[in-house]
Amino acid sequence: MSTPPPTPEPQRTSITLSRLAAIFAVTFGLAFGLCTVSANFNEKFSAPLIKASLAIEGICLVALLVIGMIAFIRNYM
Amino acid sequence: MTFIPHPGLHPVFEALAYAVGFAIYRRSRRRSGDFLPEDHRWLVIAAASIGALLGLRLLGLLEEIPMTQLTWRNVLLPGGKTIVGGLLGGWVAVEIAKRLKHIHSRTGDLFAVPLCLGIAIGRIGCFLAGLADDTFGTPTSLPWGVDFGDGIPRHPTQLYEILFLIFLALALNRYDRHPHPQGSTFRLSLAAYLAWRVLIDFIKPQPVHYGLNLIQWACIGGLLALAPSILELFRRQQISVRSTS
Repeated sequence: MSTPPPTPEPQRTSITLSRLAAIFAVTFGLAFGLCTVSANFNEKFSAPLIKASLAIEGICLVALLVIGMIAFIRNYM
Repeated sequence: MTFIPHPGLHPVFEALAYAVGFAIYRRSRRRSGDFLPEDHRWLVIAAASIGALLGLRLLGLLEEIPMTQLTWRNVLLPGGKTIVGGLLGGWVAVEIAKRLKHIHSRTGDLFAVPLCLGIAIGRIGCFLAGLADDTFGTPTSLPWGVDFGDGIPRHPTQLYEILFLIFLALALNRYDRHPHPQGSTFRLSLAAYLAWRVLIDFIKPQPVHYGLNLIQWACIGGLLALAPSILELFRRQQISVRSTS
């Protein structure tokens, strides 16, 4: 009886990292779009929308940097 | 035709464009299969997303440079983004990621039709945004000219582009069903879109530098970069046709 092949863990991790990177990149793009559109509204609406989209952009940027560092460490260290 | 703009719908159609594009990509991957392993496919998608993000904002910022300064703050604050920058940035990032991971196969064919339809959906949002979005055309006396709110009938260039993209998606879908070199569907779609943008941007009121606007120059750069690989793909196709006949 043959043993089942072991699960390729590193491959699964790299898929997860790539998926997360794609999700954060798209979310950043959408938040930036929202931020740009907000500039067309009056200040009552635009100020909180711009703040919220800037916060989302910041979170996505940090997440992308962290993912990039993890990917770098996994591949080259 | 007078029209009431709805700039608030732009991000809605943008999100819809991503969602529909991804759904079509998944469907065609399921139907036609994928020669790339799952981890490599996701690496390509991640590289394309990040490269597109950088490219669309970079070209958008370069367009604004006469009015604004290139600072980190301005990268995040409201401003322009361009599809051409996104496509070129995504393409370059994928090529870099493939080189780093030693992936030698062409990986873009599955994205060609989803990209066309995704951009077409996004352009509905651009049209609805009216003058708030810099995608409207120059004034025209043609009967289908659209008044976006400033009293001047203009070319609805967003609608022209939607029609072009639907036609391109149908043509690519047809081309994809016949034997073709790997990578040729994506390269043809990118070349067709860049060539289209060179032409359509002549009827957009954008500042010009040496006769063309910045997006047209970027498209010409992209077309020149694509030309050798497209010629190579067709040379290979001719050789395989000759060897089978």
